Order: sequence, then structure tokens, then C-alpha cells
Amino acid sequence: MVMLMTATGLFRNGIQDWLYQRVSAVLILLYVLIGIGIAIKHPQLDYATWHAIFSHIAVKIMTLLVLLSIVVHAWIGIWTVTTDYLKCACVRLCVQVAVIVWLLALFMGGALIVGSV
Amino acid sequence: MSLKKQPVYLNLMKIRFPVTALCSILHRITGILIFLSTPLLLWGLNQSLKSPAHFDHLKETLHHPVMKVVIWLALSAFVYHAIAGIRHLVMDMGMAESIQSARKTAFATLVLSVLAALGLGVWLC
Repeated sequence: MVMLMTATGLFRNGIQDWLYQRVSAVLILLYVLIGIGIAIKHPQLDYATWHAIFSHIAVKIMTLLVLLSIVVHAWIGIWTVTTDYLKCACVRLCVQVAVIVWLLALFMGGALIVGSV
Repeated sequence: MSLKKQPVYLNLMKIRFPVTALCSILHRITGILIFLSTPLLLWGLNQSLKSPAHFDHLKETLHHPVMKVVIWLALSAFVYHAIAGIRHLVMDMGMAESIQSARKTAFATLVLSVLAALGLGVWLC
């Protein structure tokens, strides 16, 4: 049972989960605040400006870093919630694996999108 | 207090939620909502960067009333999740950890989020 519980967890212990949950949260929040700043600076945002922003290597790195943070944050969060509420081990494992696969796909997709700009 | 007088079942419909519990469960619900909105986010990012035509088409799509409701829900969920998250970070730093202050910050989280959701609604209209 314990083996099954930790098999889909991101890290092997709660302290690591706790720390990465918070570090990823702060990174995501900073990115969103910068995004709001850009939105305020460009009230009538056009394609050229938007494209130029995402052409910048720093923006690409930040975007990928935040996508990775979303993977980590959601993995830990959804794992915690499903471990609490999904009592059937089979259902829980299927949901958790599906969520992990989706999150990794999200990261790959985001990397392809940002990389193609 | 005698244990016998307490209900021995856990019926979610009959349990009265203290404000801290409400704050906590909403943190979880909004987290799931944000997770569910990730396909939309990725799709939007892709469309916005593909070409000027895709960019303009996306702008039009986002102005559709149904999309506006979806965006409002997702943004409100994010704002709530962020404020509740900051509350956790504050507690992690050893501040406002007593039950009285936890109730106050939970209440403040709810009030601030409702105000933010109203603001977002006005902005999106």
C-alpha cells in the first residue's frame, strides 16, 4: 500500500514535496505578475509586439521554467488531493497516471510552441 | 465534552464548515479548476503565436460570451488560489499561525477573492 502511494508521488518524501510546491508557486506567481505588467504596458497588444516578446530568449527560458513549475506544482497538488479522496487504489492510480502524462505532454507542447517562435 | 454526543458519521452535507475549512477546500477546488484550464492556456499560447491571422482570430474567439465566462472562472480560480497560497507562505514563515488569526486570514482570503472576482467580471464585460 505504501509502495503504491509513493509510486506516483513526485518526490520520495513530504519535505521535498513541500519545498518544491512552494518554490514552483513563487515562480508561477512572479511570471503571472510580469505578464500583468506587460499587459498594462501594452493595452492594445498586437501580434508583432506579442511575437517580439516571445522571441526573446529570456522570455522563452522563463516560460519553460514556469511550465516546468506547473508540472511540479500540479503533480504534487493533484497527487495530494486524489490520495485523499479516491479510495479505490485502481481508480486513483489511473487518474494519477493520466494527470502525470497530461502534465508532461503540456510541458512538451509548451516547449514546442515556445521553441517554434 | 462527551464523545457520545458527537456525530459518528462524516456527512459532508451536514458538517458545518468553519471558515478555515472552507478556505482550504476552495484552495483544492480552485487548484483542480486551474489544472483543467491548462489545455485552454496551451491552445491560446499556440494560436496567439502562430500567425497574425491566428492572433486576430483568437482575439475574436476570446470575446465570445461563453469564452468570457470560462476565462472569468479560470482567472477567479487563479486569483483565489494565489491569495490562499500566499496565506500559506505567510504561515510557513511563522506568522498568523494561531486559530484566531488563521480564521481572520481565511476570511480575508475569501473577501479579497470575491472582490477580485467582481473586478475581473467588470473588466471582462
